[in-house]
Amino acid sequence: MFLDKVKSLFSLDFLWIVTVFSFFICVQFVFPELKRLFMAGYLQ
Amino acid sequence: MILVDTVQTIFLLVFLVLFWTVVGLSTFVFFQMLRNFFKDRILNLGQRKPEMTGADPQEFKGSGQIFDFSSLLALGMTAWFCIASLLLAVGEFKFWTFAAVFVVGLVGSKPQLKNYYVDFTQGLKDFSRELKARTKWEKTLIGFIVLFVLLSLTSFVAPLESDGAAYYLPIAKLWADSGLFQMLRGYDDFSAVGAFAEIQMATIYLLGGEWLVRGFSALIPLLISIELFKFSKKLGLSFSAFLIQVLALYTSMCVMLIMYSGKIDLFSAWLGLLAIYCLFFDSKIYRAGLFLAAACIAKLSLLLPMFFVALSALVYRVRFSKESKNQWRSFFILGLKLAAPFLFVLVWQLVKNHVLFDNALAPFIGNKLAEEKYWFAPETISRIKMLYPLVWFFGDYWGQLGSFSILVLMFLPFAWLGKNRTHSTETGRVVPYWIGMFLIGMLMWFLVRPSFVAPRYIMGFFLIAFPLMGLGYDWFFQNQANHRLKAGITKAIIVIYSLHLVAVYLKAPLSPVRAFYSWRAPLSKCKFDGPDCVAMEILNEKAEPGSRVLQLMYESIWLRPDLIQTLRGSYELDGIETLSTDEKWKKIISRGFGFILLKASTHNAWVEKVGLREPPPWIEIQELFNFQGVAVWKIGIKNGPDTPQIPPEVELKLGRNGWDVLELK
Repeated sequence: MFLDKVKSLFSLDFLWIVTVFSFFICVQFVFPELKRLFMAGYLQ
Repeated sequence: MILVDTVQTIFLLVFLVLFWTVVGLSTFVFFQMLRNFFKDRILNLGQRKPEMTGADPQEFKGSGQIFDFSSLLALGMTAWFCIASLLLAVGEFKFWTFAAVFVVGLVGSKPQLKNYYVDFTQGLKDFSRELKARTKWEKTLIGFIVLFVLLSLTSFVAPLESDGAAYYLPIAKLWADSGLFQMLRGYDDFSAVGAFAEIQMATIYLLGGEWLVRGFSALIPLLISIELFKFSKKLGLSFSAFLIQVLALYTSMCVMLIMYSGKIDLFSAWLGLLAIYCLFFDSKIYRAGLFLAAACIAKLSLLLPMFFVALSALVYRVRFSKESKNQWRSFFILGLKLAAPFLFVLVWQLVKNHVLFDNALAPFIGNKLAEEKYWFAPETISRIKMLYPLVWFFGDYWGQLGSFSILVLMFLPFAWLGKNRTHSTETGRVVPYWIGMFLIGMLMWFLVRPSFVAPRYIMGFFLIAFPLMGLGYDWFFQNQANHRLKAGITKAIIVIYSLHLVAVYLKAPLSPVRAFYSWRAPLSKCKFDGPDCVAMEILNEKAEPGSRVLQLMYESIWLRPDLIQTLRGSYELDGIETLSTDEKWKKIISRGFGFILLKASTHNAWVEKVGLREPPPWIEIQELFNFQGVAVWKIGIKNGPDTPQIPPEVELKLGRNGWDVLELK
């Protein structure tokens, strides 16, 4: 029953939403290197 | 005192809305009359004397709704931009000319004013009925939106800083005081940028709205929300799909960071979205031309993506027109109908730059601003290119000023899947055009300005992604209607992300906590601002009219308008670093500077450049203020045997429109 529920979560649309949010969490809070990738100062 | 300021600000806001509305209505009446006049002429072929009939009262009725409020306000602002540009070009942007335009607007809009009022109140009732949340989820979304709107209103007491305090507000203050187009000294080349919002801000200054200019931009997301509602209605979206778009707007850091401090980029965002709406859906394409021009003047960078929007709208209109037999002919005629009002509004931007630079085509030709093509070194630009399009949602590059909400990225890809929803015939056929123009516009921006990843530059264009995202949102939730777990997790993600943004707002300059403490501070003019303001207030007190301030900082908004008029020009002290200390100071004195204003955090290099550390013995320096790296000095010449003779290079002359700095050689 539980496994069926988990399996049913695997659809492309839902995975996309979860991926975007997870990526946001990683950039903002988990991996500072990832955050630095999205940062740069003027003419650097 | 605060209560008086608040009441005064609200009263002024209501009055300005009335002003723009009557100017908009009379412009509408004027266009109607013009149309009827030519219609009579053409149809009757001179058999009957053409009549200058009034506007059709049915035009508003029924169609109605409050949402004409947003278009009408934009129409009023656009008409006022043209009139005010003319007044500023001839140096007559004064209170009495403003009052005259208001009276003429009031008289001209009289035939429509009553209809509009009836329509407005009816629309307001309909709107409030529609706004009623039906589900818990809709109530949650409304709760967040109300919270964000309240937080955004703290922009009225947020500190003035960066672009707003450096350029947009000082030039508006300058124009309001002098009544003439003048460049802001120190931003000589930059003064060539479009002046749509600056003129509206100058109007607020003209009426004494010192507080209103601070937070005016925070009201614009409400107008953008009205436009999003119009788009949602056209696409047949659900109420929660509309709400998610508004939530995405308020959770976009790039919107939040330009809502305060007198920044004006949101004008172009609102007008751009309105122009796109009119391009695709308004029966009168001339209005699209007017708003398109207004949006592009408010942010000249919009010209590039908006060209493709206009092109795709023309193709769409011709393709689905019921009347057209010859499609090329229709395309050409529609193009002319769009281009004529566009050029009519655009010409006032050319007039402004002709007055300022004797170069109507600035900043595109013959201006240093056009040379600014890259913000970063090549390796950083390569990195930005690699990160496209994620950089628009996660980027925090220099000058980017925030990115778009990830809610857009979450649901936007589903727009294509949602385009064939059955209950709206318009949805299916318009969406491919929007997706196409969105992709082409972004691609062009990527090719032409890859390092300018600042959302504010193309927000008026990018916002078309929001209704598309609403479409994707509806598709997703309808697709997952039977899967409560997926829907629940997605809603939880939206709530968590919104809560995170609430925390960000609380830490930002828009923080209500900060506002509260500033409010409780002892009453002073600078209670919401920093030492920059205090330093300039001291200058305002000590400097005689006709004094010159050598500003070694970006901001100048707190200075008296006459002192702003005579600031250091961008190229005035070019090459001073190569001179000896004596010669440096001779140069400063000969240019008529009596005060120096320094902000060490941004202009510390200038301390060496102008020889501030070791002035010659014949120079007298008196420190008037020095706190947290901001300093004010009064400078003069000591009378003594070693004092050199310094012939003046400039003369300050008081004219009809304030002070002029005249070169003597």
